[in-house]
Order: sequence, then structure tokens, then C-alpha cells
Amino acid sequence: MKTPAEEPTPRRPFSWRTFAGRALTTGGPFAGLLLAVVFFSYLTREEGTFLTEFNIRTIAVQSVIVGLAALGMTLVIVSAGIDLSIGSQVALVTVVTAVLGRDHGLSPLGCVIGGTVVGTLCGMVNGLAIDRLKLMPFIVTLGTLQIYRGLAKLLAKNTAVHFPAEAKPPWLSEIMAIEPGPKTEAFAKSLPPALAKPVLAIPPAVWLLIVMAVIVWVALRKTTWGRYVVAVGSNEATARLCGLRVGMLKVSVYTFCGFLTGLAGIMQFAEMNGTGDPVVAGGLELEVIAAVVIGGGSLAGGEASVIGTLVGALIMRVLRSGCVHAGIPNATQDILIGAIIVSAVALDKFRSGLARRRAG
Amino acid sequence: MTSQPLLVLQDVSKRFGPTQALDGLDLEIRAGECLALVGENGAGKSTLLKILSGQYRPDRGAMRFDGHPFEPRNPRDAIRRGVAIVHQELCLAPHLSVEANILLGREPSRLGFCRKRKCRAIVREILARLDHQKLDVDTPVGTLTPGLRQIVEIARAMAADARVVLLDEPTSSLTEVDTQRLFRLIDALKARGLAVVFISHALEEVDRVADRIAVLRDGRLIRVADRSEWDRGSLIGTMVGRTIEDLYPVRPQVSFVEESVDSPAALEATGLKGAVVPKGVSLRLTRGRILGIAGLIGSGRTEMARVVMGLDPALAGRMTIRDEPVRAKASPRSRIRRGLGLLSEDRAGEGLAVNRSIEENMLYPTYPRDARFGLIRSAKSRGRVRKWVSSLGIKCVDPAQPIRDLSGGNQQKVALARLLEQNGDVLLLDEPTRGVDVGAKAEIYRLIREQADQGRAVLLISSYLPELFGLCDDLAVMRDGRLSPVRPIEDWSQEQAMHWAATGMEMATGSGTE
Repeated sequence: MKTPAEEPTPRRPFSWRTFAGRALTTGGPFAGLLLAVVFFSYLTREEGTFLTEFNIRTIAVQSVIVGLAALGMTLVIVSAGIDLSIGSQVALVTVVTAVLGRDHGLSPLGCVIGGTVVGTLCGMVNGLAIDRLKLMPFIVTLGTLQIYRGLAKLLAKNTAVHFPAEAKPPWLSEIMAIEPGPKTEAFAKSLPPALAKPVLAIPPAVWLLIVMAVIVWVALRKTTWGRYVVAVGSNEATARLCGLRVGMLKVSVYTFCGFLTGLAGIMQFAEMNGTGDPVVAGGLELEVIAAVVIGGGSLAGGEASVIGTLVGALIMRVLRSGCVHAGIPNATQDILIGAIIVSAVALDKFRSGLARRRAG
Repeated sequence: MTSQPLLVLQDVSKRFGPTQALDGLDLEIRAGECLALVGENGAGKSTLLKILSGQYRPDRGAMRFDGHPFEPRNPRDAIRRGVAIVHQELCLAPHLSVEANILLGREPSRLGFCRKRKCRAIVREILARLDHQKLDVDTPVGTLTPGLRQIVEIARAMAADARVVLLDEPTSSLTEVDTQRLFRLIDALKARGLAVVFISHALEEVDRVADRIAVLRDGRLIRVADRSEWDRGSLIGTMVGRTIEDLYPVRPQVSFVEESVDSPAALEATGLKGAVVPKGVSLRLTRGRILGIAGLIGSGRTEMARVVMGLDPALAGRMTIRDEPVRAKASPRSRIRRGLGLLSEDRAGEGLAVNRSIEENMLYPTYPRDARFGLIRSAKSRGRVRKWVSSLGIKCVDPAQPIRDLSGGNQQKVALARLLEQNGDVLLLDEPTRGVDVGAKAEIYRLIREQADQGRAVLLISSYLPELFGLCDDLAVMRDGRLSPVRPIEDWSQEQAMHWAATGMEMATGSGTE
């Protein structure tokens, strides 16, 4: 019998195939983003409006709503689930937030908290239905997509709900602003200069996205909870065998996703300058899923990356913005984005084939 | 009966990684006869059928069909040449009708439209030949009994003008009536000059239908002869025919002594019933002893372990751990906490998350040990993994490597390490050496013995008799969801165990009657 000491660990011989596979996995979405930026900078080199500070800020702020929801969707997809009710949740949150302020006289902060709580509850309901009724996430959330949208319309009586103008706090219009507003500048002044600079350089909404991304990344990569969520997505039977509380984990994932979608709803509410709109964000879920998938997420579960997702969301925004600046019509934009989604997944399949091949 | 060789195999060999599944097989299959392939699980019977039906290609050797070289590239090619297989797990489209299934892929058509009347005529003619005219050809196959589905599969082979029909354990899912019907059908096929190759574990069935019997063991053909030249004893003896090598660790002379005579059993189950199997099983695991469970694939051993672990619901029965009752609805999680652990037989499907790393797979149940406020302190995790990697000799480059990169033996060691890290005192091991090469097998045996010597109770499920006889202290045999009496290993012989697995009865002692 061989003792382990006599058994040197075999070194894996270097192989270009595995190297290329690995490089594409980690760098793929970034390369795509870079390519898109370079491409549109070249197309719009005459006008020179694309690669300006203002436009970069605009793109970043416009990515926030999709980005926040996509962070939640990353968790859902890594657990081999899906949430189709995201768009409806966002609409419901905007309506609830506005109604709380208009009809119940809650303070603006109270309204924001209330809206976020409703988003969280929506997610929890999804999770509980999936776990308790033992139904496919696709079916459950296809149903709640309709239900949440219906609730939003019911609550708003089919029209837009406006937050009372006199109660509107100044930060409401500033949080989704592209250039720092007076409130933000005053806040920056109160900080030491070293901190003031980044606070002004990055719009407040983007700060929120960054903070949330860090939280989600830590939760997914550094906590036991995160390991377990990946385990459930990678092989649910194994998770059960190891004594993980699979049901509880699923509920927590959808709840977390609901919370982030709630924040996305608040941002949507702010972007519409304090309006609750029951028909807003139709089809948002598809854009969100696309962001996760472009970022390397696998709908089969067990694979997705927080950073990839953010880059995925940015890629789509860059494409939209670039097309506008280059004067490419809307119809072409749609076709282009569709093609990008399909080729991103095709590329992903190709690279996982490369990475999977055992070297030596 | 003609004895014209239809299919001739010469020196056919096939290797899977470290396992030589088939080793230089020479065999003739004759028109108008039924040849039975028997042998223990893993003897190479299924591999042989898969080579004949084009699912595998042999590494070495030649096959001739009707005098011409026969090298099927895939199952389609084999069927086109006249060799059709009826699978253990039936491969029919449950939503389609009997007729559609029989003709799938070879519907008579004109301009892409199915010629309905002609389809109907062909199917009726085939079913008449099989003496099953009464079968309603419009019924969806999913609503038929397993027996009738098998008839549909065979009809499909007939529609393809097969001359050799391969049946892989056709009776394992059939009732007695369906089995008799199948045997009449096999007789009808033989009468039409077809060759039938038949795998079965039930020796009485082999006696009933086979004209010749071939015994395989460890990938070699041990003996092939007419049925009349075999008797039950010589058949079982040839199937087992092996002595236990010193692959197995020495049993301690004085095995782990219980603290006191009346100390509670590590685990005791009474009348345990699952959804289908087990059908009322009672057993008692003692600290320091290894209880082996023999039996054929599908006899309900895995299901028993799953019910004990709480992975499948128990419909009846009681269970205690150290005399403390276990609730029937207790989750696997709570059972792990009380010291139970299961090594799954389905390594890729259930045992391991193959896309995830060695570290994750090893530590899923015990991550909280390294965590503070839910945050994993990865240095501690790494340390624990390194300890097992070196003590079990797991060959890997890095603990972050995905499981799928490892060989079967090393994957199994990771799964075992996870179980041992849980530090429970009842280990349920389901086929712990499946797909593992000989070297790793010996190491795994040593590890299992060590666990028992350290005072753990072990349940060892295996389809490989020598392994059970080499390692266990006690043995019971499962057949059709029921367990034979548990006896010390010295009171069993391999022949007796095999006999019980095949018949569910005690082997008659001496040369007496049965």
C-alpha cells in the first residue's frame, strides 16, 4: 500500500486550451465591455460625444436599476432558479412608495422603507411558493409576474400616483441625478477632502449599486450561506445529502433578491421624480436575466459572478448609449442586443468546453 | 434447432480507465437459439451487450455478423445491420402511441406524410407475429404496464427486421404473468430463426429459456455450454469462483468491545418500509462492527439506506439511535447531527457536486466550524482539506480544483473524507468502491476497517461478494425489499449469499432437494 508521502502531487501540465478557457471565464465579460467601448468611440469619433465624462456618468446611472435587480437575480440563478416577476415587483414598489406618501402621509424615508419591505415580501412569497408547493421557479414567478402587476394596477387605480410635491425631499431628485446636486455637494464638503473627491466623482445611485455589489459578493463568496446557495444550484441532491436546509436556502435567496429588487424599485421611483407607475418596467426581468447570462451565469445553476453581472448590465447600457450617439435606429439596437445575448452564451458554452477538458 | 453461428466475436476487449471490463472474449451467437449471459454485477455482461448494440466500440478484437465484418458505429448502425437491443430502462416515448413507438424513425411515408393505412398494417402484422394482436395500437405507451411496454420494445426491434435481439435484464421490472408472456415471446422469436441474447440474475429464468449459458467473471468468459451441461451448483460456483485475496485488512482478533453488554445499539430499525422498497426491514448496527448487505441491483438496498438517512420517506417502521427514537419525518440534517452519515452510490448524481471544488464538496456539512458570523475563515478550511488530502492520499493539484478533474477513486475519497469529517458514529456506505481502481479499493477497505476499530458502526452495501466477505463482521442479503436473517460472516458462504440474492431462499444443504 502506498503512503501519501511517496505520492508526489502530480502537476497539471500547462495547456493553452485550459489557459484560454480560464482567461475567457474571468476576462470574457470585461473584454466584451472594452470591445463595445472601443467600437462606439471609433464610430462616434467625429461627434466626440460618446466617451465624455457626462456620458460615462449617464451610462453608469442608467445601469443602476438593472444592476441592482441583476445582483438579486445572480443569487437566484446561481441557485438554479429564475425570477420572472422582477419587472412587476419594481412597478409595485414604485406604486406602494407613492401611495404611502400620498394617502398615508408617511415621511419620505418611511415610504422608501415601506417600498423596500414590499419588494422583500414579494421575493419571500416567490421563495415560499417554490419551496412549499414544490413548483418550478419558472412557473411560480410567471404567475407572480401577473399577480404583482395586477396588485400594482389595483393599488394605483390604473393611473400614475404622484408623490405630494410639498413633501418631496431634495435627495429624492438627487439620488438618480447624473451631476451632483446641491445636497450632495454640501455632504461632500462636510467630509475630509480625500473622501469628498470620490463622493462627487461617482453619482449617489452608483454608490448604492457598488455597496450592494460588495455585500452580495461577500455573501456569495465568503459566507457559509453563499457556499450553500451555490451547492443547491450545482447539485440539489448533494446539498440534501449533506444536510443543508435546501428549502430555507431557496426562500432566503428569493427574499434577498426581492430586497434588491425593492431597492431597484425605489431607484425607479426616484428616476420618475416621485411617481408610482403601475405599468413601468415591463420586461425588465428579461434585461436583468440577460445581464446575468452575459456576465457568465448559467441558467442550469451553480455558476454566476457578481462582477460579471455588473459588467453584463453595463455592456447593454453601453450598446444602447453607443447606438444613440452613433445614430443607429432603435430597431437595430434591439437586434444588436439580441445578437449579443446569444453570442455571449454561445461563447460561454465554448469556453466551458475548453475549461472542462481535462489537461493531461 | 439450427446451430448456424450468426454473430461471431473474437478477442473482444474493452477497458474503462483502470477497469478491464471485457478481456479477450470469444463467443458465438447462433441463429434460432437463446443464449443467456450470467455473472455477478460488474462481470462485463452489460458492457458486452453495449458493444454488440453499438453503444461502445471495443478496444480490441473483431466481430463478424453473418460472415461479414461487423463494426457498428452507433446503435442506429447496429439496428440497420440487424442487431437490436431492448434496454433495462425502457427507451420509449411515453406520450406517443404504441404504433408511433413501434415505427418511430421508419414510418412509411410519402412526401413527408405518414401513410396511415400502411403504418397500421405493418404494426398489426408485427403484433400478430408476436401473438399480441389484441394490444390497442392507439394507446399512449406511458399508460401501459411495464410488461406490455417491453412487448412494444420488442415489436420495435421486429419492425427494424432485427436478426439478433439483445435483452438486458428484461424481467427485472416484470410481474410473473408478464415474465411468462415474455418467455413465450422469446420462444416465438427463436422459432423464426432469430438469435436472442438474454441477461438475467434469476437463475430459474435462465433455466427456463436459455439453450446455452455463458458465465462471465471479471470481464472474461469462464465457460459457455448447453443448458443441460449445467446444474445450479456448478453455475453459482463458476459465477463466484474466486478466493479472497489479501486486498482486505485483517479483522481484529478482539474487535471493539462495547462499553457494556447491554449498551444500546448504535442504530436499530424495525419494520422499515419505503414507498416501494424496502418492504419491512429490521436491522441493528453495533459499534465496532461492519454489517454487510449483499443483494442484486434493484433489490432495495440503496432505498433502505435512503430511508434510514431520511432522504426518502418511511411509510412505516421505527428507528432508534442509541435507544433514542428518531421521528419518521426527521430531516437528513437532524440525522446527521445525531451521528448518521451516508455515502451515496450515485457519486456524480447525488454524492458530489462535480462542478464544485474539492474543498467545497468536503466541507459542505461542516463549514460552520470555520465560520465566524457566517464568514468563512478560509485558512482554517484549507487546513482541514489539506489534512484529509494528505492522510487519504487524494491526488490533486489544488483543493480548489473541481471534482470532475479527479479520477473515480480520488472522487470517492473526497466523499469519504466528508463523511469522516462529519464525525458521526454510524456510517452507511453504499457501494463505496464502485468505479474505483484496485489500489484505491485497498485503501478504502483499510479506512472502513479503521472506522469500525475506532468504535463506529458501519453498514456496507455492496454488489461485490468478495468485498463483503473480506471486510464484514456480519452479513444479510436483500432480495425484493426484504432482508435475510443477519448472521456472522463465518456462517455464510458466497454460494449461499448468491443463492439467497437470486431466489430469496436458504440454499439446501448438501445435495438434498430444494
